[in-house]
Amino acid sequence: MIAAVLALASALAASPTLAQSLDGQPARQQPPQAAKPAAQPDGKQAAPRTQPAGAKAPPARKAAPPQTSKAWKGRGFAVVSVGAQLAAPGYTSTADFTVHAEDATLNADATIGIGPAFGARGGVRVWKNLAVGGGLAVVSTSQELAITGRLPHPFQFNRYREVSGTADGLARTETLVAFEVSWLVALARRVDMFVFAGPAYINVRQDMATRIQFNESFPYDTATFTGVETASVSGGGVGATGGIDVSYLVTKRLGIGGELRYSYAPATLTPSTQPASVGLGGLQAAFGARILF
Amino acid sequence: MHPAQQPVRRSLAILAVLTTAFLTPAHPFAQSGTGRRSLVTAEGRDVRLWDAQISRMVRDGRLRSRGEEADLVLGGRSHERLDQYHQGVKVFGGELVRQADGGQTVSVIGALYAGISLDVEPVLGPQDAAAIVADMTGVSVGPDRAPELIVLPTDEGGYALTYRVRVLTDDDLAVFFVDAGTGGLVLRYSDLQTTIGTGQGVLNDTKKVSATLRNGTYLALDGMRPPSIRTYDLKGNLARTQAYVNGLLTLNDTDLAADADNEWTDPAAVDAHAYAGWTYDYLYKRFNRQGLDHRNLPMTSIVHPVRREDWASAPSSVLNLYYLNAFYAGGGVMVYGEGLPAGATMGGRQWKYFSGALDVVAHELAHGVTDYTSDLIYRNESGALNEAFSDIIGTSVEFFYQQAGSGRLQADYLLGEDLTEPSGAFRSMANPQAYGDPDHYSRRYTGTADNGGVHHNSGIANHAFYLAIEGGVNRTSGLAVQGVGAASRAKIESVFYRAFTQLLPANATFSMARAATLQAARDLYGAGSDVERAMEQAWSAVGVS
Repeated sequence: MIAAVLALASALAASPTLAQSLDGQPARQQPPQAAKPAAQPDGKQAAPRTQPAGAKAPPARKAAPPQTSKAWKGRGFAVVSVGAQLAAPGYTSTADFTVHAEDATLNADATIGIGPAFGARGGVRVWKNLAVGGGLAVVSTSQELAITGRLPHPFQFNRYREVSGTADGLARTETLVAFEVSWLVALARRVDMFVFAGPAYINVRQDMATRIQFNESFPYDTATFTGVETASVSGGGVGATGGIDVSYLVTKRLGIGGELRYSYAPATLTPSTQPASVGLGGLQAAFGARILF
Repeated sequence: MHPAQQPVRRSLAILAVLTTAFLTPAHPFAQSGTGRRSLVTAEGRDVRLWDAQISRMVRDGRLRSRGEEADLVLGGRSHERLDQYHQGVKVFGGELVRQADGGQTVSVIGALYAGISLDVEPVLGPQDAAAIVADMTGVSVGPDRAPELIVLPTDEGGYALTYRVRVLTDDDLAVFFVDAGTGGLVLRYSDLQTTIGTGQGVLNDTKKVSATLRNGTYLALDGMRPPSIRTYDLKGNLARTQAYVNGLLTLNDTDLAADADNEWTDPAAVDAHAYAGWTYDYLYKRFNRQGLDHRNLPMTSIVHPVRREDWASAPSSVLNLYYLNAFYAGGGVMVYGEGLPAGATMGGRQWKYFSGALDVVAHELAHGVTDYTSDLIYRNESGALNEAFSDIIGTSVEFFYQQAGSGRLQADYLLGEDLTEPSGAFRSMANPQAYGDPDHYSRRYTGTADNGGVHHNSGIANHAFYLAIEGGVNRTSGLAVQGVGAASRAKIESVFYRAFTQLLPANATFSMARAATLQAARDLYGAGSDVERAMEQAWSAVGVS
C-alpha cells in the first residue's frame, strides 16, 4: 500500500507535461525565459538580462518544469481517510497476582497486529503553503501476547513453576488527536502533497493480561498454561505525529489521495499492580477523499 | 457512589466479554488449546450483534436458556444464563450470561466452544457409567444423581462424549467424567472448595495450609492431595480422643481444626496438617508410594488431645503419652502430644507441641507404612527395625525439605531435636551412644523393657543408615565406611525403603535387614555398585553380619 502511494506520487511528479493547479486554475504555458522577463513571486518584474555583443543567443529553453513553490491560494483543506495501521510498537507488561497464598508473576510481551484505521485531517492556510489544523485518527487492532510466568507451588513457599504460552486477539483501540502544521508541495498537475507534523495526544483502551490461567494436578511440580485473564485498561500520552499526504484532484476542489502517518506517544498503563510503559501509535497508511477550499 | 455499585459500573465499562472464534473471529481472546477459543471482548455495537447471534443460536438449539433472574441490586436489570448444546447434548463449560436492562442487552459474558464434531450416540448407558464410578469409589449414586451425558472439552483441545457423575465419598466430593464410548475415566476433579492458607508453626515458621472452605469457615481438610488429610482439634478432651482412637466415636467436620480467615493461628494444627502432607509428598516423590497403604489411605492427625494446663495433675501415663509423646494409632491416625505450657519443664526442658517437629510427624506416619507392608512385629529385633525405619523416614523427610544444618528447622541426624528448649533430641543416628543407644550389635539391649529395647536397639540400624550415606568410623568396631555421600542419599533411602517395605518379613532380624538391604542395593544399583559396597561396609561396621 505504501509502495503504491509512493509510486503514484513519483510517477505523476516525473511527468514534465503536467502543470500545477494549486489555485484550482488550469496551468498556463510558461513562455521562454528569453522572450520575457520572468515574473517574480512578489509580482515585480525582473530587469532584463543583456547579451554581450556578438554572443550567440542561447537556445530557446523548454518550458520550465512545474515549480513546487508555487503559491497556494486556497483557504484550507480537509481530508478523510480509511486505511490500516501497518506497524506499531509492542510493549511488555508484568502483573503480580496471588496463587496459593503467594505472589505469582506474569510477564507479557505484546505484539500489535495490523488493524483498520479511520482518520480525518483539516487545516487552514495561514502563510504561503503553510496550513495549521488538526488531525484525528482511530485505530482498532488486536494484540498477541507471549506470556511467561511463575506460579507458586501450593504446598511450599518459594518453589515456583514456570509456565509459558500465548494469548491472541486481545482488543486495542487508539484514538489520536493532533495539532498539525501542514506544508503543501505541488508535485505535478493535479497532484499535491501535504507534509504534516505536530504534537499529538493518543488515547488507548486495550486489554492487558492480569492473571495466568493454568491447570495443575498432584504433585503440582509443574503447571500448564491455558490462557490469561485480562483487564480493559485505558490511558494516554502526549507525543508527536507526522506524515505525508499525496492527493490527486479530480475536480477543482475534490480529490482522492493516500496518506502515510507515523505517530508515537508514550503512556503508562496499570492493568493491575504493576505499571507498564506502552508505546502508542505506529505507522498508518490510508486512502480517502480530499477537499480544497 | 455506593461502594457496592462500583463493580457494576466497572462491568458496564466492558460491555461484553464473549467467546468463540466461529462467531466473532475478529475478536478471539486468550486462546487455549486447538480448535476452540475462549473469551472474546466486544464493544457496545458488538453486543447488539451478539444479541442477534444468541437469538439465532437459541432458535437452532445451540443455546438453551436456563432462565432469567431479576437483578437484586439494580432495578430493571435481569440476568439470563444460556447453556451451549451440541446436537442436543450439553457442552461442559459452554455458557453465556446475558445482562439486560429493560429488555436491552447490556453485557454478554461467557465462553462457547467451536469445532465440535462429535457423534453424540453413546455406546454406554448412564447405568453403565454409574457402575464404573461405583467400582472406582465404592459409592453408588441414587436415581436423582443419574449420570448426565455431556460433551467435555479436553485439556488437549479436543472433545469427548462423556457421562458426568458427581459422587460424595468419605473424603471428597468428586466429579467423574466417564467416556461414553469406552468407559474410561476422562477426567476427575474434586468439587470441594480447596484453598491454600498460611499459618505459623510451632517454631514460628510460616507455612502453607491446604484447607477447605465450608460454610464460611476454613477447615483443616486437605482436598488437593489424592488422599484426604484431616487434622482434628479435640480441644483437650481426652475422653473423646480415646473414644475416637478406640473406634467408639466418629469425628465430624465440627471437630476439624478450623480458622475464620485462612491465616491459621494454632501452631499445633498448622504443623500437624502441613507435615502430614509433606510426608505424603515425600513418599510419593521419592518412592512413588501413594500414601501409607499405597491406596491413598486417609491420613488423620489429632492435636490437642489433652489440655495443656492440666499437665501437672495428669497421671504419669497420660503425661507420658498425651503430653510428651506422639503415636501412630493405626488406620492412618496420628496423635500428637500437647507438650507443656510455657514455663513448665520436664527433664530440665520445655516441651513444645509434638507436631512441631517434621521428623517426628514423618516418623509416626512411617509406622503406618510399616503397618501396611512388612508389619514388623513391634518387639525385640523386628521392633527395633520397625523403629529404625521410622527414624530413617523421619530423617529423610527432613533432608528432603530442609537445609542441612544443626539449628532449628534444619535437617540433621537427630530425632525430635526441634521439640525442646533448650534443644535436645531423643536419638542420634550419627552417634547413638550420645543418647544411650547402641551403635553396634554387640551393645544391643537384651532385656524386656521397651518391648525388648525397640527404641534403643534401633540405633544399630540407624547408625548403619547414617554410615552408608555419610561414611565414617564406627566408634565401637573402629571399622571405616565409605559412604555414598550426601548428594546420593536418595539411593540409600531407596535401598532401605525397598528392603523394609518389600523384602523383610514381619519377624525380621538385624541379620535379615542386612541381607535385605544388600539385595535391594543390588536390585536397584547393580552388584558391585558403590551403594552395595557402602551398605555392606555399614552393616559390618555396626556388627551385623
